[in-house]
Amino acid sequence: MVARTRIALYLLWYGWLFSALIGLPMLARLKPPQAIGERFPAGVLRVGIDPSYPPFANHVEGGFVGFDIDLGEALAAELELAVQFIPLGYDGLYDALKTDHIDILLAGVRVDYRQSQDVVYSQPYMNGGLRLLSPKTAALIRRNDLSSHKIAYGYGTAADQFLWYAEREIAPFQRAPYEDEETALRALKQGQVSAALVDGVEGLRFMRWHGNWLQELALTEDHLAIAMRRDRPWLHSLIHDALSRLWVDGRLSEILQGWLWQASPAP
Amino acid sequence: MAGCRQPPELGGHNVNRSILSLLFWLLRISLLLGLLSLLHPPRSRAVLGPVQQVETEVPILCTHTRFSDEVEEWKIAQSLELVRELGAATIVEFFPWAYIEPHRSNFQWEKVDRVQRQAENQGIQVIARLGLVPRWAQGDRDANEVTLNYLPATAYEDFARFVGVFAERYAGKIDRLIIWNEPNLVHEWGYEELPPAEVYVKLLAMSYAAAHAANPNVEVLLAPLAPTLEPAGSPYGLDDLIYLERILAAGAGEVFDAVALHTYGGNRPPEEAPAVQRINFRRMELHRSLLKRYGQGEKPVYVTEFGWNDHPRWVHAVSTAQRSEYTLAAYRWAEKRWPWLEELCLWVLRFPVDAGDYRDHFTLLTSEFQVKPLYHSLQAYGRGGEERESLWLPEPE
Repeated sequence: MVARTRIALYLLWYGWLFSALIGLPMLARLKPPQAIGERFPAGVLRVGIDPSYPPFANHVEGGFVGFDIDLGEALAAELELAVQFIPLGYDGLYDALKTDHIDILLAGVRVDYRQSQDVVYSQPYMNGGLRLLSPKTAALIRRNDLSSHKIAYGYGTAADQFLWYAEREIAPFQRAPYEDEETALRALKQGQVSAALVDGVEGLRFMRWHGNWLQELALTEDHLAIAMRRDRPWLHSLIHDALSRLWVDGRLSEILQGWLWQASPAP
Repeated sequence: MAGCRQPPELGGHNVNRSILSLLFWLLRISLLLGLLSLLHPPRSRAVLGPVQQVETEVPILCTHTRFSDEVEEWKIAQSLELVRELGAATIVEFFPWAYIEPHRSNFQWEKVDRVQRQAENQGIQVIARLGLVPRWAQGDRDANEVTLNYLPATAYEDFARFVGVFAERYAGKIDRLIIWNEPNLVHEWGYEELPPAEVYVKLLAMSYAAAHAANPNVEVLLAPLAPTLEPAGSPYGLDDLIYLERILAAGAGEVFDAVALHTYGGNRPPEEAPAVQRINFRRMELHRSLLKRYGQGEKPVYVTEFGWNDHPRWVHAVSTAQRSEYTLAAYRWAEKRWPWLEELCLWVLRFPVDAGDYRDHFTLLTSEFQVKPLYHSLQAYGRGGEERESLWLPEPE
């Protein structure tokens, strides 16, 4: 009995010692969760923007305006940080992120799998894919409804490419190529075609002024999102949560409507 | 117990069955081997056909291609076929050092070879732009903190050695080499502080010596500068005219054979007069004046990037019609007034994958080879401006 008790005590002692030896260094490596203030010592969220690309961002007298500016300000406010917009040229967007010149890249960028080694994206904030615009009176509410209609598009655009493929899958429709998307939209406005297939952002911009008589249908998906460095998971969580809150309380939708026709499907 | 012994007849039967089974296995293996012998690696879809020749009325017609991230050779072949049909006899292509020499002295030439052989097959000359630094040459900097444009001073010799090896391997096939790209921009040095012009001249001098030692016929091109008005001390870069003057003052004239230039039109017409504080197509005339002032006016000039963008919203873009009109007018201008110009290369033929934003509106083809209006306009111009049927509907009334 005594021997058993002694063995049990030994086991308990060595077990404790072993746990201490293994566990203490691990505990030492664990840091308590840092407050936002510690993550951003300067109290500033650095947002990389492309100010040549309206409606996302544009340089006007007195500063920057655009969807990305409004969203960047809303995100910073959610995180209780000040915001600093850093203008970038298109060649240097991701390099600025990689070299820590910015915290997030909010520049109308789409989710790009080629960046996945260094970059992660937030949940998408809008779908910039192709939009089919048609009068509300037209029965064009599904992809297959294209058949027998006359569809305007810009020659050599992504819509042109999409229609080449669609022609093989959908019953014949009449193609109406125009020199560019702007002309295709004008043809729709003047009733010369049943619908126009255009770049999503362009379509949603057009809808802002013609939404009273037009309807829109997203035919492809091209998600626009916020890019962040892969090695900062804490930032992904912060941005994800902040963006979700903006979505849920309707502020993201309000910001989108300020620049485009309406918000895209929920992230 | 008698029942425990196997009768000898049954044992013989088992032997026969084993032999039969073995024969069956041999037959199966033979069949499998026979089937395997019928398998061949998939036939390349980029088989070289008869050697072609570019027919053009506009010898300076040229385009920048972007094959460095292209996976399939048939896409390179098809792109170059379309370059030939455009009437362009020269392309500019970027060959990243990081891809070619991923480990020190371990060269992977296949990506260069396939571009070179396909171009040669179409009768097209290649101007090579060299840059992008392999990780092994970036010293002990954390790979997560630097971009592939970061070139520490300790790697200049490695880069020059690479230039020499490249020049030697492609001597007689690719004889024009551009050393680096837009050195007046911070991000072209990996977002490090913009090095003084003397630093670029040092890199150029080392590369020049290595290239000429390897191939006496090589033509080393001064890196094109990015057209920009950034003042000294800007975190983004430095005005191209200021930077060029500094390069020339630092003695660069001794270490280049020709000049590469970038001259984008922005949203201004090509005929607009140049000015120091203006970015437009004719800004390159100011570059040439500087070159003349420093005794370099006789050196050949290659415009390795130029063009207009027709994105509907980008602030520096023009309409699709203007893009065609301006580009053709630029060629007419250059043909008539710039006899010293060797090539006028349009940015850009096509991207391997569409960017999904305004950058796509610089291309002549979509990633899926959909031809854009400017391609047709240029092709007609390259064939002597013949009339063609319109490919799109007239403007709505």
